[in-house]
Amino acid sequence: MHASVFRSQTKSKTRFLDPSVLSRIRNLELIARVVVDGFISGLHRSPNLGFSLDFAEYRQYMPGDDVRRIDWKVYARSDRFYVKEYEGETNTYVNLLLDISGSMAYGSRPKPAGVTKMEYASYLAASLAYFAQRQKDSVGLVTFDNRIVERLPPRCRTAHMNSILHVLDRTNPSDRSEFHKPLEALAKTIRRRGIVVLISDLYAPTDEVIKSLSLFRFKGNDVIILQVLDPQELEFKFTGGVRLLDLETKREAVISAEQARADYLRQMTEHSERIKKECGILGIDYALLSTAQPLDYALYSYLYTRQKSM
Amino acid sequence: MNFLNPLFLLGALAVIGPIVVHLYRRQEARKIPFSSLLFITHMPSRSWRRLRLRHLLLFAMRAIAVMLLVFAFARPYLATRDPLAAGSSKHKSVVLLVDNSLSMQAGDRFERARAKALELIAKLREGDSYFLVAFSNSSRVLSQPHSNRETLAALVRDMKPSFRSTDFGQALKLAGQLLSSAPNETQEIHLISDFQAVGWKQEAVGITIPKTVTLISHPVADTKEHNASIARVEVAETGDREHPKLKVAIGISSNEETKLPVRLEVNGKVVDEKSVEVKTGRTTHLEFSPFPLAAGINRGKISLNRSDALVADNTAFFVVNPLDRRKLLLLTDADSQNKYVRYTGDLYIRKALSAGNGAPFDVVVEELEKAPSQLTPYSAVLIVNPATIPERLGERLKSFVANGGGLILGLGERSNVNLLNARLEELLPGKLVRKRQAPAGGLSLISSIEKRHNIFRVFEPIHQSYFLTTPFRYYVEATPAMGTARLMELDKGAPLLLEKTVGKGRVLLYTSSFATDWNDLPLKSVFLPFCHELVKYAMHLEGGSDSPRVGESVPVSKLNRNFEKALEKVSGRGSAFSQAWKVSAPNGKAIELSEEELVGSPFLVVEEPGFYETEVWNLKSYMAVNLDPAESDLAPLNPEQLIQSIERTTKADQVSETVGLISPEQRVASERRQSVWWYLVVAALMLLVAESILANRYTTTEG
Repeated sequence: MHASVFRSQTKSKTRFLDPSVLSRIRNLELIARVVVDGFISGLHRSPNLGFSLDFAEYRQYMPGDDVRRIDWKVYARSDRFYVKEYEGETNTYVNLLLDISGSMAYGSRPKPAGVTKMEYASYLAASLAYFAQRQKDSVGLVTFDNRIVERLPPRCRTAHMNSILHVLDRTNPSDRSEFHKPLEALAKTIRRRGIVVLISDLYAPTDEVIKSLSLFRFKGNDVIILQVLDPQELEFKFTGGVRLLDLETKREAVISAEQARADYLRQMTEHSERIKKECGILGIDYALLSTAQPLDYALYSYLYTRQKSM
Repeated sequence: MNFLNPLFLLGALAVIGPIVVHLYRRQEARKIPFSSLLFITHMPSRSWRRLRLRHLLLFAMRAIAVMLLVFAFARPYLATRDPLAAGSSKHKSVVLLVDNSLSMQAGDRFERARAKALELIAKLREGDSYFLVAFSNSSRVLSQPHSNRETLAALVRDMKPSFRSTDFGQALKLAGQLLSSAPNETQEIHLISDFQAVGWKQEAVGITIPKTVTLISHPVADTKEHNASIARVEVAETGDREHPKLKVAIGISSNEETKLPVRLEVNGKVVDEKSVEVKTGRTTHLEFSPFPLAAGINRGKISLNRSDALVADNTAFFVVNPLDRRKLLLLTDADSQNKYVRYTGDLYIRKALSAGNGAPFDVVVEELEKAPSQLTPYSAVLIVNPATIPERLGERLKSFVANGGGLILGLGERSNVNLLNARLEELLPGKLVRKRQAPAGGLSLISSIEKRHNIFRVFEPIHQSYFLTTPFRYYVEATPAMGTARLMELDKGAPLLLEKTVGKGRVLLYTSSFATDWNDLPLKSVFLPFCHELVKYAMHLEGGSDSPRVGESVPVSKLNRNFEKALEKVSGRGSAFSQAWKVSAPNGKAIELSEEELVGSPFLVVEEPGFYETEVWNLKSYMAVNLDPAESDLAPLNPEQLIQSIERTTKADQVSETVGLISPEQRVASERRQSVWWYLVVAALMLLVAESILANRYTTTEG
């Protein structure tokens, strides 16, 4: 089922997912709950597709299985190791990769009218983490700029959610972004396949972005790219002569907004289209999100991808 | 280029508007944080400069448009060489101001002035125009713009010095007005004068002459000329009424220490001759011995027997006619039972009015009940402390006042307010209410005095303070009638002296007493002059009875007392009495005075010192006219100082004042010269339209 199906069903509920409304809530957990609960109530049906606690069968223990899952009663009766398997149990591992480079600090509209990309990305990550936890998925979080800043391996425990929210809460975008180096290091450490969600503005050369994400893809992960951009970055509505200060490099450029607009929009579109195209080739889900957009779209994308991976 | 409204040029500050807009825009181009410059293509600096240049062009267009509008509102006008409006710059318009005041009679001043004027006229070129103006304290334009040298020279040769005083201010003002409508662009004022210091009056300091006019002085006075003059003549009658005598005193001023023989002549005969030593810088007082006054008109002449720079001021004239003296009828209260009151009731006022020799009136004291049946010989009636007014006297007083007589009523202990109200209802300046006493244990003081009134004008501020400190114990409360002037008031606004005009006459009501029973004013030094001024005012003698000075307009009634009656007849009965008067100037020449002129304006301007003789209905009369003594001070003024103290204005300031003087053609030409503002407005509008189009185009291309 595609996300657009759900969108029409939940339109009236999106007020709970409006970033500008959410920005008034300080508690990130509460934000995540509001988003997810609002989203779920709009679905009219359980999102726990394929998930069931019904016993399915016993399977002979294979090296590598968690010893905790061995049914000791069966062992006592049969003197063999069997592992209990339930119908619908997935054990999906979700890795949220959050770009916290300097460019993510940008927000064209001051609070409470708007949020920065970092805030939006945090809401998004928190919501996805909360949503995944409700699905009994293990959720991990990695923040990075030109290196891995923090890393929380995927866990399913309820207490783990607090750790994720804590990390999200203290993220402070500052440095330049670089995709390949931190993501390559990360890809090496992820052993289990799962879902990798990259939340970033993708301000990096297209090739570098694709190359980095393909590392995850090649390991059998389902990858979702959520590109978060400010409306101003999408529309470039500056007027007159402006001197732009790059939040990452601190470089300045004096431009005539009217003259520069067309060129900017063209390059920006080319960049997005290229990523989208490459993602299509690699089987990566890609979604472009505006910080003015409700958060449910990202959740649909996640849900859709998770279904696919079941 | 000049401006009609130069203040509008301040509007040029409005150009700050576009500057602020551009600066604001430039500020906008400063820092805006942005996520990344990854997709920002750097604009080539050349392109950016072009953009700035475009903005600069827009800025320039806006600024120029603002400036054009500012200039348009400042109403510029061009001093063009439009032959109709401005004449040719090659030619000039000149005003020749030639001083012909009395001081120019000193030495050869006037001859030198005439020679200077002729010299200037000789330089007259084809196309130049000259105004010839003779000035003293009045100016006369002898020629309208003239280009003919011979005519102008003839006019200059015919000029004669007058006996008038000098006033540079009005002459320069006239010159400025003449030049404001003059045809040529080059304009000059030539001031030929002895530059007598007294001629530059304080009032003239604010005079303005356009900057474009060149002011050139031609002093013609010698550095030092000796002169003595009679500065003052005081004539007082002494002796009794049967044997009147005349005492004459004079003041002599001189700019050198010398001994002067002075002669007094009366009716052509030398009465006294004295010699006096005069000192520099002060007026020397000289008194002649009193001499018996002949009946009828006495014409006196005092002359300094000396030949100095200015001869005319060595002689002064006076006229005394013992029969012509004004009379005051003082009616006193004789019925009082109290001997003290009877004695003191009119004591102070009687003594005050008869004191001194300088009073221009005689006092005739009568009892109220015995008032003469004819009041016409009197100029004023003063009634002191009346209980009431006899009925017949009341009637006579009404017609007396209506015909120009004066009535002064001083109240007192006996005054019955109801009876007085009844008898003098039409004459009293206010309704008498009742006798009032000052608040218990206290005194009433004068709270206000109408200082500008003729009665009080002679008093110095210190004297007025004497009035204000005089205690008043009693007064009669009065309610002033409509049209009544309050000349003095007591505390709480109670009227003390009221004035009312009835017909041609004046009525003065003094609500307190002229004796010491009700107040202490009779004990004050100001009482005597106060009483004199009251009487003089009631007699219409205010402003002094001195002889008029040259240049003054004298009412013909002052020339001859029959004149007014004759004029009344003329205005009623046409020209039947046209031959009824004859007026001769001191030089013996008859002065033509037409009925129409006299009926319209019954004044004669006296131009010469000496005796003006008039004969109206066989009544011969003489009036002495003297020179302005200030004119005898020949001390000169630095001409440069005079020129510098004249305020110079732009010609535009003068335009509004002289619109009436310029011809329709000149006005059209002048308006054409001022129409520059139209072009400026159109240019500004076109510029703004172009700016809008250009700005839109830039926006479109930049977008």
